[in-house]
Amino acid sequence: MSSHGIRDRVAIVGMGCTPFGERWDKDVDDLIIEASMDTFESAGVTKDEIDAYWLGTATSGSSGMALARPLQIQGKPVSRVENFCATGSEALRAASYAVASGAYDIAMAVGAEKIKDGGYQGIAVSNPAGDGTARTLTAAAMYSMIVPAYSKKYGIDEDELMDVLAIIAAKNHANGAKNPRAQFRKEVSKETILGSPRVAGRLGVFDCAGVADGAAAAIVVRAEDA
Amino acid sequence: MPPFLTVRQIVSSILPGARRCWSSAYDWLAGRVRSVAMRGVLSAAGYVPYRRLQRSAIGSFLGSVAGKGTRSVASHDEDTTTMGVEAARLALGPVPASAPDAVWFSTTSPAYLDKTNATTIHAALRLPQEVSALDFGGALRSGVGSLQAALAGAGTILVVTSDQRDGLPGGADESAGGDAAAALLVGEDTPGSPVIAELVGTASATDEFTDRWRAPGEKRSKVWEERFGETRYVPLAQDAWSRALKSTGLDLEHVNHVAVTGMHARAARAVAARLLGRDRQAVDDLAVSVGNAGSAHPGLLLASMLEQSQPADVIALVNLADGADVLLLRTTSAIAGWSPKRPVAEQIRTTADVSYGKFLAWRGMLTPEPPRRPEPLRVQSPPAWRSKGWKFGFVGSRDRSSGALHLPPARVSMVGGAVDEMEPVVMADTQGTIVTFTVDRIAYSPSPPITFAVVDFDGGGRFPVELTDVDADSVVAGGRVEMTFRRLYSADGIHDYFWKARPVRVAAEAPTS
Repeated sequence: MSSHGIRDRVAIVGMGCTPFGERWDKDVDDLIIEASMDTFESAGVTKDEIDAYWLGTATSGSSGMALARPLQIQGKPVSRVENFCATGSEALRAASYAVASGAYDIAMAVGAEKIKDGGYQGIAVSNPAGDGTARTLTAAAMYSMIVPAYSKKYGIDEDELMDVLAIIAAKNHANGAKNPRAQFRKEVSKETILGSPRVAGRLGVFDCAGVADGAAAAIVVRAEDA
Repeated sequence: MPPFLTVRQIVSSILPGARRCWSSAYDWLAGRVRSVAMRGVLSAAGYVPYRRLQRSAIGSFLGSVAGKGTRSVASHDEDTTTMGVEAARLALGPVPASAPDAVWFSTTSPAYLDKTNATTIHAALRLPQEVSALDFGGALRSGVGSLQAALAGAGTILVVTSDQRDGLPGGADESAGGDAAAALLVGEDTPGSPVIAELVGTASATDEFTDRWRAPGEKRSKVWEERFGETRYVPLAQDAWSRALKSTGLDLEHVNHVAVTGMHARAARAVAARLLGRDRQAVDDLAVSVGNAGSAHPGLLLASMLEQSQPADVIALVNLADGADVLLLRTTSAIAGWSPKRPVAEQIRTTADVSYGKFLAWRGMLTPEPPRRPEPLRVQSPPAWRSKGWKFGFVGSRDRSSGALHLPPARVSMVGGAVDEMEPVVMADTQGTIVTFTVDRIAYSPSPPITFAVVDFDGGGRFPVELTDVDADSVVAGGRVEMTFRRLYSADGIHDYFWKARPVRVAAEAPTS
């Protein structure tokens, strides 16, 4: 039983990222092209020099065709991967193992999501109903159950816990205000956060992630080739 | 037969305390005389849903005359099938040794047409394949009719009746109607499952007249002016009553409790007065507390009467629906040892109000703004069938090697990893404790918000489950819950049946009167 990792064996030689938010005027192909072009430029390579591609998307495309078609990739292997909110990481992992193994020299990982077209509140992933017994809570509700449980397990008053969560959210919004690509670009006070409407259990609007459209990409090579 | 009755009546009038002795002696003597085993009711239960609508709330909302009392209201996640399941579970609880040969289900509001609804009840009760399940459809009379057929038949038959009664806002039916279910287990006397009430006699009178009618697909009934129906029902009831009594050799004075029921309230009152005379009252028909639950109401009253009976009581049920049906039953000594799990009177006391607006929304009279979430997809039949033990019966699995309890059932153990070392464990009747909980204000629900909890079951097993029959702000970690059979939603006409948890409630004290 072993997990050795590939630390220091892979280098990211270029990256690109679109602004995240409500991108009504861009469809997922536009976002993929935007992020990919920035990444090619950042790495100083062309599309033809990439040996293999991985696309990470949870809701916005099926199969590698969702990347091959907009970028007009021919003659190269293109795969789509998914792992819920770790989908982007999953694409980067796959590309990194591809070059670390020596199977390929240059690999590209692209992540893309176009959630706002759905028109729903929150993330709405529509899986087949199956036998109808699976729970259908929102992600916010499932996470909200941690609050009473955490409070009880560590002996922390729930109000104090909510206060700390509000500080975390306020810190995140302050960071976003400094980032031109961020979805939310305004500082929000702890008091506003604590006073916002509750979405699930004790979690309020600002305790829960917003949903956004956006794409990002990375090109990786073995460290010695960087 | 008559000589035994005469002697018994004489002794009973002299020595009231001798009734019980006589009941046992009578059973023994009668058993000797009979050539066939005694047949009757082995167990019974009513199910009254948790919520009540104050009739005064209708009046104040609509600006009309406020009615008295309350009517029972099924939760948004209940239907006639789920209420039937709850009544059946309560009826079978006190007689674990009984094994029904058939389940018969009767309602005027079936969840499905074409598809049998009794098979859902069959699955929820985890009955074996060789037990048949049949629907008796559509008419208010069918409930009592199926009971008469079961009592006249053979084998052990679970007769389930259930109804949700609707009416247009402000109308009599909306106010006087009720939601409820009843289950009666009928069969022959056996040592493990004795008859608690024997059928002594029955009679029916039938006539064709259009007093109450409803077109398929309509929620509301229509009625002809009440005087017409009243003049029809009274002679029909008198006819059936006198024939029933005559066939048994009994007189009114031998009958201890009489219930008169039917959707035509005026006719029922007139019949009661005519049959019982000035000096006697029919039993409380639950009109003030529950309302009239249509085809389920006779069974509900019967269960209620049995729960309050002594041995050797004679019970009469008179049902007015397109004619008159009369059943005469006599309780046996075995009824003293019969322990109903949740008597009707207790369920009536254990309740909370629902607002009129919410009632209208639940009944589809109002269409509130739904949450901005995708509608659920329809349940898929093959996976629902593959997992029917879990979905309908709430059966988990326990790993033999580690003892770990899996909800839902699994093949690979989460402790120790053993594969296919699992035994099925029925969890439907196990209570649990809330570990943590939340209120989801965004997720799709027919009646948002969703109240949801992680429950640790007594004896092992943890399951995240939706809560019901509870107000969102009254849930606490550490609260005790029990499982109940519900309908989560419907899509493409397919109902998603599964289980939810509801608080365990201690019945309020009975009012001293």
